[in-house]
Amino acid sequence: MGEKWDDREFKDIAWLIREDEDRALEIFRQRNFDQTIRTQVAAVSDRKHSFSGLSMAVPVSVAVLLLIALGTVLLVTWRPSLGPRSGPGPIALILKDLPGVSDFVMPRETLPAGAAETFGPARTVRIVLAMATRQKMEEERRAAAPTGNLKVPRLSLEKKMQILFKERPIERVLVSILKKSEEV
Amino acid sequence: MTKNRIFPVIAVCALALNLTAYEVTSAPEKKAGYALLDQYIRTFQEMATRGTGGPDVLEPYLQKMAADTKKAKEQAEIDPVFYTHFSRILAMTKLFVKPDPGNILKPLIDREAANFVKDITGEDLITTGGAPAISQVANALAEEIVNLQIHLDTLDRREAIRKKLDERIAGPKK
Repeated sequence: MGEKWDDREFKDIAWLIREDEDRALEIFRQRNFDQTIRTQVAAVSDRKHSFSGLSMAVPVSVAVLLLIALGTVLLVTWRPSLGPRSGPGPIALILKDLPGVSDFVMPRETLPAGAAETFGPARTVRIVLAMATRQKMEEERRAAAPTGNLKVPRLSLEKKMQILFKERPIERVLVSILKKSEEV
Repeated sequence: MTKNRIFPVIAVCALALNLTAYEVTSAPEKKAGYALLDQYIRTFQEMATRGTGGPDVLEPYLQKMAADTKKAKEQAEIDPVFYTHFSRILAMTKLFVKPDPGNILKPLIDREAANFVKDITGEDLITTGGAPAISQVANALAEEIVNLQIHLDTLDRREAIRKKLDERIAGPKK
């Protein structure tokens, strides 16, 4: 091709570039980029601050909960002295009156004769065992009590006779009861 | 082929109708009676199976059955025959297991037991007492339970026959 750029063409290009620059500057000044950038930077900075506050709140909450749990465990299990207690503490008094808890409070007279009252984990284990025993006794009592309706599964004549004359439950129970009465 | 298909359908329908009719006629005055008999048997069966319990365990059951019997009679759920016989079973049971320190009630208990055994099985109660006498009373109680079951089972049939006989005696309607 061998074309040469002459001065005129260079001048045209320079003029176009300058014109673009001027237009760009004019737009830059009109839209106020400086203020926009400052606003955006401030917004990002605020979000960062608030996020750091939230991120701190989680471990603090966990720590507080752990402290509360630890304090409760210590209150329940640990006693400052091994001397005889003057009476139940305020927390025990409140808990004792709650429905559901009052049923499981172990009476003092259930302690074996001569056994010293224990504190700490041993006492907790003893209370849990007493609760389980009491619950089991309650379930047995409920199972043994007569139900309040007449709806029992119907037995056929054959089944009745089989029970009455083969298993002989009436005779067995009568003999057992009369034996016990004689022993008494 | 069509006849072969229709016949089983008709048979099933007839059976269903028959069963429905039975349920309607057997309720409600018999259901309470059956339930009371079952309750009595189940109570002794459970006690015998567990092997525990004395008069204090049996007493609440007897009281409940007595209350249920009375209530069923008031609501006409059992007939007078059933009520009288079942009440006697309960009374006999209670009298026999009731603690009697000093044997104060022994003459009364022996007399009632002897009467009960004689009425139900026709036997004379062994006077020496002990296990053979207990066996006799228990057997009489069991027999009476069976008698009441049969009484309930045949109640409808007997009433129907009685009605038919009454109609025959009275003669054709004018």
